[in-house]
Amino acid sequence: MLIRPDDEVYRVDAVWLGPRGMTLPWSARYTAYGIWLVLFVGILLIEAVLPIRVTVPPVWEAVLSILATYALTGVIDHDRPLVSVFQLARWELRAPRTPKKHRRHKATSAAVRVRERHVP
Amino acid sequence: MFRKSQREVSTPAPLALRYVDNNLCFTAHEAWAWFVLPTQPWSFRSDAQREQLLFGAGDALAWLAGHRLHLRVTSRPYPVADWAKRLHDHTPDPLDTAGAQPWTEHLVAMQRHLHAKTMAEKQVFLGVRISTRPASHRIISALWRRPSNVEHARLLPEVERIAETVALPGLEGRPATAAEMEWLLRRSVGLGLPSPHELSPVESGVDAGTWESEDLHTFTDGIDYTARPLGRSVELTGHAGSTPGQHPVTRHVAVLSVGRLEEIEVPDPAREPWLAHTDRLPFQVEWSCQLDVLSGGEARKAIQHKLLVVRDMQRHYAEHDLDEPLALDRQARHAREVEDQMSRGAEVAAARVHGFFRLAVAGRSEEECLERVRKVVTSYRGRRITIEHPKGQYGLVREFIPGEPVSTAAYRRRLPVLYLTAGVPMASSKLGDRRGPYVGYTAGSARRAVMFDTHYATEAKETSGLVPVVGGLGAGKSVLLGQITYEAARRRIRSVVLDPSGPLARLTQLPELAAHSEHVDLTTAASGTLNPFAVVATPLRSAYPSDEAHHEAEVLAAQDRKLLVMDVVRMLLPPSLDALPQTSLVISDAVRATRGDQDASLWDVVGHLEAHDSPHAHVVANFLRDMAELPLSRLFFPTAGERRERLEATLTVLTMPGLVLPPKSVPREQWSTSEQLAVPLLHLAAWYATRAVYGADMQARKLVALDETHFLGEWSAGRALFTRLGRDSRKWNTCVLAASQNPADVLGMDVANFMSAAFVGRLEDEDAARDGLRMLRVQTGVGYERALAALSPGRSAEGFREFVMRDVDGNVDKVRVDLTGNPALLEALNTTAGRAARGEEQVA
Repeated sequence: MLIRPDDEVYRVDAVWLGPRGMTLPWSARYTAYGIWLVLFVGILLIEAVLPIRVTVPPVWEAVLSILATYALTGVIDHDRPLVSVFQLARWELRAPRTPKKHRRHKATSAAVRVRERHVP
Repeated sequence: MFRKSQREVSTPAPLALRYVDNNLCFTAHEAWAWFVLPTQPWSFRSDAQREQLLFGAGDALAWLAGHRLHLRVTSRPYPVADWAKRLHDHTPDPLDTAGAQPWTEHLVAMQRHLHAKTMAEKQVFLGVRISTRPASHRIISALWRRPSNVEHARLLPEVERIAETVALPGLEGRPATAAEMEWLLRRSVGLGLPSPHELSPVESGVDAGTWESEDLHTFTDGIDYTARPLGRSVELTGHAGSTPGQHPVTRHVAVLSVGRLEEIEVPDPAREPWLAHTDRLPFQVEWSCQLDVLSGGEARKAIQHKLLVVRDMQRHYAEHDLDEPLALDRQARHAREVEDQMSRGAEVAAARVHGFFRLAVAGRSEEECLERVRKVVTSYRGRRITIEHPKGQYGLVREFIPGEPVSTAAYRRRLPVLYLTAGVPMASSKLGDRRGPYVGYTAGSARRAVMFDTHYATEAKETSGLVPVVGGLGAGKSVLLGQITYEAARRRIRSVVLDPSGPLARLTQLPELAAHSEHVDLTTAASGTLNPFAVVATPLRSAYPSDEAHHEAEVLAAQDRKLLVMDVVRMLLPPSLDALPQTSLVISDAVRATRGDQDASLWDVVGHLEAHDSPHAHVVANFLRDMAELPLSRLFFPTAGERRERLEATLTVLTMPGLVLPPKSVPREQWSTSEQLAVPLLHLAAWYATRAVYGADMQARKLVALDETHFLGEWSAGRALFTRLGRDSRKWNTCVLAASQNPADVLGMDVANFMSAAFVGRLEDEDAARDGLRMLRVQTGVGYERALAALSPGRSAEGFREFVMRDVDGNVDKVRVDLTGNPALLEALNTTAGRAARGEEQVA
């Protein structure tokens, strides 16, 4: 008896080729467009908060967000969804690290003051 | 402004677990029930048995649809101390020789050896999430600091339903005990660290089996985790705790995740199940699988959704006049097949599991750990299974702890339930009686210690003690016989070994056995030692309950003598003379005249032949007189003189150096005189060796080891000997080891019902392999013949001696004889040219 895993069915590449009648020269997944949009808006928001002048049209912001999308989608695939990137970041922040230096614990009596009690 | 807090050591985040009550575990939001799944034998089982197991387990899991499962596969070191105690208890009077290693030291050495071999026993736990905890229960629990009775009462029906489901055939699980839960928690929190020596001393009372939030610190306090940013492993440091003078132990642990899986054939006789594949690695691998069980309906919805996406993509490509990727078509077909399977198939075929399969390996250093990671990945590559080594190791390590959530959504697998059960995580080797001396370790799917007590069959199971050892030339039969006999002699079990070729005689020179053993060279023994009338023992009156039974046994013994003498006489005659019909008649008359008397001899037979009326009888008598002139014939043609009864020592090794056994392929007509003489000598020597069975107390343990028994099956006297041994071994508390080159000979002796255990070594010939499997009671014609041919020959470069063993309880697996724990014995038994010089056996 042969048994197949169902993984292949879930490995569908849902790509957007462009509007009907106009095929884009690239093919990217729907999620990539979503990521790009979030990053692009994020960069614009950061620029709005910081005292940086936003150019119109926002060319370098678009370029930056495209490059970031490329980088992010490079580590995302069917086995590693977008959420796993955030989960990775969360666990890396929570992970216990090796202490940089060992502090010596030494008992010292320097702070102890002894007062003699003179009993008349 | 802010001062960063400095900590000497890094402590892990608190456990998600809040409360443990025997097998029930409560986290802040969920309640879990934990079960122990017993290991299942897998090797050499028939396809029907395997399918029954897979479908049974699949059915049980399908019943758990809607629940999340946490499958944990861990290990427990072989209980060496318990074994040694049991063996010592079963050895009331061990052999101790002044100046040699005493029995107790021998036991300690074997325990050390077993410890060093790091053999562990598999333990499989299954956690089932009962339900999420309602807010009201959580609040009461927080106030009362333990789950309320109301919550327990609400959970009870569901817990009982789950317990019944987990107990179904295939899983056969039972609720974990408090001690088992503690073991699992300690192993999971201290993943990769050495096994805890001691568990909680609280075994009874009101609080036994429960751990409250404050108590749970006992699991985490002694262990520190440290992880480097985006590191490939996590460093765990275990502090010895209260024991002074013990240093912290550090281990590096890496967690891997199962990636792409391929189509598999179920059951696959050529390979072990995919989840049990790690058992064959020489280091421990722990598994943690968190899975959601989906019923057929839920899984169908998910598949239908994906099918819609696929269809949409196909349309999208068509809109743009582009060729769609071939994968899309394949995925659509696959989705439709799955959907069809779900709509028409049984629930077990429709149910699905979606989840994560993680495996952890540990090493003393990061390099060792990563090397092991590489080995796991490479090992699975051969099975076309991708193993990934993801980042975020700290979160992955914590997933192994019961109650902890999944740390990452990466590498989620979606599988049919049967794909999961085909992995058979419970598959393990269970071989040996666990109370006898150590003979080796299983070399099939897993590495487990194998113990073989020569008298377990007769004393504990009350069955026959006949143990055939079969294997081609150089399969290591003599070594196995030697090892078993050595251990038996050390336990003061009276042992007689018939080893015609003689290497086992070296056992008598070992310092611990020398004073209690005797080497008898039968070729130089006194005249008449192998007198066929004398070698058949006279039944002792004390062994029989009544005079009638004793008389009956005496008659049977006389019959055996006559049968043996007839065969011996015929063996001594040339085949052309033996083939004449009147030969049998005159011999029969002459032998009958002796009445099978114990004091008779072959001279009496010759005398009766000479007194016979038939002239043919004179011809036969003349031939016998000619044979009596040969030097070795004096053994069965006695001359005057007193014979000394031997076989009194604890270990007696009978050898026959210079005996030329005829090759199997040469017909009897072409045998030389010495070859012709060898066959009756071997028969008589075998009968002589078995006298030891009847010469001692019935209840006393006895061992008879016979080599080269394949010559015995060809003659009725040989078959009679085996029938007698098979029949009497239980009554006389005797283990009979019979080594042969051909399983057909043993099967031909019609003693299959008397075989308690069996060892089958390398057999290259397919017919012989099939007979070997029949002897092991393993299904033939399904590929196991290849397994026998692939056993390591004892004379190979690797030097392993491998056998397929069937133990008294009916378990069958491959066992590798291990003599490395006793180098002196290894050196004594090593007969392979060239290896003795190296003085050591290579071990995997």
